[in-house]
Amino acid sequence: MTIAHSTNDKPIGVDDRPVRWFLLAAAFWAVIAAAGAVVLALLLVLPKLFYELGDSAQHLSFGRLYPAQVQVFLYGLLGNGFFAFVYFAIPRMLHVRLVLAPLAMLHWAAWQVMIVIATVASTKMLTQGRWLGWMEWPLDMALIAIWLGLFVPVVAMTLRHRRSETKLPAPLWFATAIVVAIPILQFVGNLSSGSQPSPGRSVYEGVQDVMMQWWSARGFVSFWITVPAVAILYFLVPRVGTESKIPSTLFSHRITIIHFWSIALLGCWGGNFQWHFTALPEWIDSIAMFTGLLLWLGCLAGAYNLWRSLPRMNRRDRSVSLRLTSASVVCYAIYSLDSALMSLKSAGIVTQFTDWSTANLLLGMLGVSGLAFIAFSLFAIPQLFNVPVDPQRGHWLRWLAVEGAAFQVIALYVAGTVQAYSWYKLDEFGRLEKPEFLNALGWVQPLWITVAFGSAIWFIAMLLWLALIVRALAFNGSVPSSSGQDANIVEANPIVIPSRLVGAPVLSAAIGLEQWTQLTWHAILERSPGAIARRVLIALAAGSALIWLPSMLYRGPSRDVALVTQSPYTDLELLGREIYVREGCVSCHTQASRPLLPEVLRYGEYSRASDYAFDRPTQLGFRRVGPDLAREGGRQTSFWHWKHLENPQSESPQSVMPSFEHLLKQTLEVGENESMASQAQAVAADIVGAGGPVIFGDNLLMNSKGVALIAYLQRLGVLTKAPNPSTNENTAVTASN
Amino acid sequence: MNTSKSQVSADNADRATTIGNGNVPWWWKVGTCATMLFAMLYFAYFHLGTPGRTAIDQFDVALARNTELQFAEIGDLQQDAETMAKFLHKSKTGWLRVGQSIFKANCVQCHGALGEGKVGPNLGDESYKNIRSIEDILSVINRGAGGAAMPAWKDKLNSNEIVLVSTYVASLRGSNPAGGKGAEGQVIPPWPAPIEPIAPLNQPAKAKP
Repeated sequence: MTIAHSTNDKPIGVDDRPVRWFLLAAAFWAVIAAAGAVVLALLLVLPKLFYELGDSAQHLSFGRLYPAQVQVFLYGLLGNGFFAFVYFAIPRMLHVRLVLAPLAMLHWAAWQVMIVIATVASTKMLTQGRWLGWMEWPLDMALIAIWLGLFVPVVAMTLRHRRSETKLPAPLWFATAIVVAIPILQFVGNLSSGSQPSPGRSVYEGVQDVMMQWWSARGFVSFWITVPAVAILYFLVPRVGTESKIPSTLFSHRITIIHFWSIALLGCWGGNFQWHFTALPEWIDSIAMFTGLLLWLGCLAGAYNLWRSLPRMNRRDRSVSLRLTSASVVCYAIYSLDSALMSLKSAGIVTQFTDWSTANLLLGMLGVSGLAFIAFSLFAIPQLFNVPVDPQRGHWLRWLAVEGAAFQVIALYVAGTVQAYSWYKLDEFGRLEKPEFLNALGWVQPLWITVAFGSAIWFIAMLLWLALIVRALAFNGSVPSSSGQDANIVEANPIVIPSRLVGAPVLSAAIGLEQWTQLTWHAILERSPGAIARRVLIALAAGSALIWLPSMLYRGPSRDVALVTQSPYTDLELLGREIYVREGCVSCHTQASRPLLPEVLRYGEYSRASDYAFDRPTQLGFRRVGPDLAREGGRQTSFWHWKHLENPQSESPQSVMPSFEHLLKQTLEVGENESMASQAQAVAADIVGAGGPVIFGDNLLMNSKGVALIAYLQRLGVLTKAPNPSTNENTAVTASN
Repeated sequence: MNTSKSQVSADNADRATTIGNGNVPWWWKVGTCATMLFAMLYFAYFHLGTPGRTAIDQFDVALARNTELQFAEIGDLQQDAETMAKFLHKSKTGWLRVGQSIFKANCVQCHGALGEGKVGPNLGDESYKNIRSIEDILSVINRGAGGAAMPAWKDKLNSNEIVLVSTYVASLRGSNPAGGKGAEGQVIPPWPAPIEPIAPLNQPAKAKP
């Protein structure tokens, strides 16, 4: 057992101003995000919620609100919380003052401004159309600029001032990994040749874009959502029992090392269960399965490590922080197990695109991260403001947060299972047992009501959290000098445990290997954050190269195939696609029919790489609130699409889709574009011929923007080079061009 | 804001944070080795080019088996009135249910769950717009109708499916479902009488009617 030695240092002053502001901002944005989540959950249950607002209701549709809400949660709660943690933990763990504190305050201000602009931009439908990468290119660069220009200098300069023999404790390894990973993910994942207005043209196209999107998206899920929580847990777990003067122990240094490097190397592969059975090359999907399993095994070991490290105390003595920390660790273990399960291809059939994936994500966001951040703030408040947290209020907060998260997550897991049964079951004739997509809705509706209920409880919890922090801020106490003690971890020479194999009839190499597995050599890395950062960079690049390189190889060939079998999008269809991206249709609809029997029976031919060749970026989707649209072209008449967009419930009574009447009333800007005009006329002729209105709103039908969207929908998945593919076969021969 | 300066001091001896030397759990070791070993075996089995093992190949096999399951008993159906008449019986089990399942998956958006008509006409009454005799149903479903009003299904459903869903549509005549759309088109002569019905699935053949 290596035991840390204490040193007799004089107390140092630390400037906690940035921490307080970041904590306050985190709680503030948490409330906003929670309110957004309540609205989103209600929209799935009461699609006509904002019907009374008429055309203004378009701004509050699920597709438009979803990116805004997730961004606020991600950058507002998780981002601010992470910065608060780093600025809090570094001075205390390394016994060093925070340098360049004014820069940290500038960092705070710039970050909040960025969040506000991103949210407003989202509501104005300025989006790139990538999941977790909605922000347009200028905002992406702003984030990277703040990160590298303000955040990293403060952290790096502060670390420089630490005593050189001080070893970097585990929470800071994870923080270093995040510091390195985020700019790379943000930059490479969102690359746009962005001179055009939104949706900015992705540099990647087709199947390459699918891979890059999922690489960066799941990288974000790791390094924004779960890894900051892990850093906090490694910080909190040894400390939450210290009020009772019980020596705190991190169970195993070696497991910590394994946990960390699993994440550094494989963090970007963590969620690639989204690739199962899609148009990606199959061998990449197989790699994703195994790297996923390895990653989640490492994370499970880490969860075990954290669990064993938690102090064992009487029920009465457990603080709120400790309880929340324990809850977060348990959630992390379940999350890792579930993610490992989802990595398996066979399980992917059930988990992909159903609410199961959403449940998994929410478990990570609320159960692991949310609870960890709340636990951290409750731990930090007494040290930051010299005011104890009222135990009664603390326990209320814990109950509300845990219950709110639990209701949502469990309901969504059940919903996912129900959906899988409804969508994939075949009867004894080999046909779909439940051929109507909306059949699942009858079962899922009460579960979605439970989710709304849970999100309301979580919202109240966030209000309580904000109130606690504001109250602490308003308290005008002086902070005593002995607060914020922390162990100064100084290690002499690491103790090498003699190998058990000495004296046994084995090769000396075997003995050497066993010594190596003690991982004591890792101490060299721990002395230098720079060494860790460099190796994380290499690990990340190595893990990512396995995705980048193949993706580049497939770009050209799939485009060549596509040009043989399909025509590129016409101008009208491109405009329609832009509408599809901006309205956030991808939040509810997928475009990936998989080579599975129930899927093909329901949606048509499975999607191939060439089907995405002209998409920049692709709109593969991640969740099926509505049916898959991969082969939507030609399934319904344009008139049906018109009526469905105008009032979805008239065509599908149980549908939760919002009305797009506002779109049908907008004018189509055709300008001098003759091909666009003639295609619009052809589509309009189909609609009118089948019984549609000649005039809608103030426009002739052919001058309505809805025609563009319908043209795009009729193009989806059509595998012919027939002229004017936006109309049906019947009129193809009579089309003018 | 009140003072944000605080002071931290080094720990006292009774607050040492010990760094444990706990063992790496056996299940991690076993799991990691097993995963890596299994990965190599998996790749060797599935991705070294042996035909029939990719997901697409397995899907093709499953599709063939599924089609066989559905149509082995009846083989390839002819698209004509005689075939339709053979299947036109009111049994709940049997091939008409297959036709119903095809209808539910593809047609209810426009024709309603019971064929009562929404965007498309009512299929449960006696009036027909584009049909004069029973085999016209096959043409309408194959080629579409009304200009762009009804899509063509020839390339989306296989031939047997077209026959079965056409027969199901024919069987809806006279059902007059609730909420049905008004009559469109004209009343046409009744369908031909059902010929000796094919034995329902999983049941022995019945005697002649």
